[in-house]
Amino acid sequence: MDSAPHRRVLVTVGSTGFDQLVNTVLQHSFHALLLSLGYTHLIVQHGSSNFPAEALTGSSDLRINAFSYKPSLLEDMQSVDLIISHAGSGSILEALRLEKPLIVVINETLMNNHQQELGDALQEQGYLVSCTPTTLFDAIQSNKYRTLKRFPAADPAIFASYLDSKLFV
Amino acid sequence: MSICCAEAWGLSRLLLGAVITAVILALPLALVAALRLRTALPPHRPSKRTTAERKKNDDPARDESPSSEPCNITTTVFLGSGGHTAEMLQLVSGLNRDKYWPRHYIVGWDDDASVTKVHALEQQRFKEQCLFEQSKESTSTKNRPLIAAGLARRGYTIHRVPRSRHVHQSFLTTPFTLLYSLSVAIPMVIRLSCKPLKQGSPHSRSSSTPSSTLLMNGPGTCLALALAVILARMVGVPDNETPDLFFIESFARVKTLSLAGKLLYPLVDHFLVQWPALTQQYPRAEYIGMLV
Repeated sequence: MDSAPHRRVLVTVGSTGFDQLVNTVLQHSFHALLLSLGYTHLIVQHGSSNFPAEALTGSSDLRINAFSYKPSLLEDMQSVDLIISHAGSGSILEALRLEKPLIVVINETLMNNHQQELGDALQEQGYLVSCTPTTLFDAIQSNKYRTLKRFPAADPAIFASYLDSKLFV
Repeated sequence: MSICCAEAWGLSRLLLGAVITAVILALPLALVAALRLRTALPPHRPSKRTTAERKKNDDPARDESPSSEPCNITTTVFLGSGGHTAEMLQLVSGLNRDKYWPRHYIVGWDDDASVTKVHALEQQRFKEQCLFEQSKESTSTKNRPLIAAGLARRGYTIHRVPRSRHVHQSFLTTPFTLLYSLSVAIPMVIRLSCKPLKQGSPHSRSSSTPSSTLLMNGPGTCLALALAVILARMVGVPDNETPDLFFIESFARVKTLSLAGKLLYPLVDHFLVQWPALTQQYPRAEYIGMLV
């Protein structure tokens, strides 16, 4: 029965809510798109945004699992093949460090939106795909997220040697 | 009518006199304060680097001497919870524990998540035991001997400060909680990071090199800590006894500084950013690469 390989997608909105993104991933057309690309499971961390219980038992063949918060998303992130995340720097870094394909969705309703700057800058460097809730379908269809660059591992020595140079001359 | 006018005239003359006296008294004070502030702020502070270099040239054997205790930097780290804590601990994780000790972590009163992360990092990277954690019940004076013991054993300590504002707290009561928070945080940072150098110790650092550092990366509340140090310099605490102030802007800030960054930019000795574009707008900012 389960001979076909599992392909999973994680959607995460972070520590608050992101209604536009959650509403997008609730749509049947979104589920159909994921199925057409061979994905079998959808995991949604929806925060304070409403996620109706009936959406879990939707009509499509996509297996959906949803929760509001978890102390750590590390296990979920490790288990999936694609991460669709809000543009918070913490989530972005965590996903990039795991070297997972990452699509970042900018919340345009946030005031003085520096998240967009980070998403755009990292997209420019080829580490992720940046989009908005309305362009998420295109971002998934474009397949660009399959050919992203590897994000460099954190190097704590850079800051350490800088501090040494300032304090231990 | 005329009596009333005369009274008012007399009263206003009295007021005028008082104001003029106050201005005459306050002017030199303000001038002195301004001069002090000028020398306490980064561009006009005496250059430590050149003096430190001179010291090294004068006495090259000191550091290599086997009996010599290596110089250490008292390292105070402000953890602003959430993403701030995560980035800061990433930075601290690379530091050499033989140089940067003792390490004092300042966290929010109820920020248990940051405390857990500090313990995890210290035990993983530094294999040290926490010598002292100021719990919500204990008083700081009771634990002071423990801190002293900690200094000798190169460990780390954790200190909690009250929140300056709770989520959803009324703006009417905010000034009071803010004042309370400052009344705890300011003496704490002075006590932890402004240390008189040991008298007559052969191993003490040169009189012009810093003996401590304060690392900050936001949020805006760390302004209080930076101001406390600058005030200490203004009232005459010698330069080498106050910590060198470092601010490290978040990885999330690409083209604009955070509020904390904007506030601390003119105050700190060293200002790091993680995206090169920011150095064009802020010439004092340094870019040395992505740090997290």
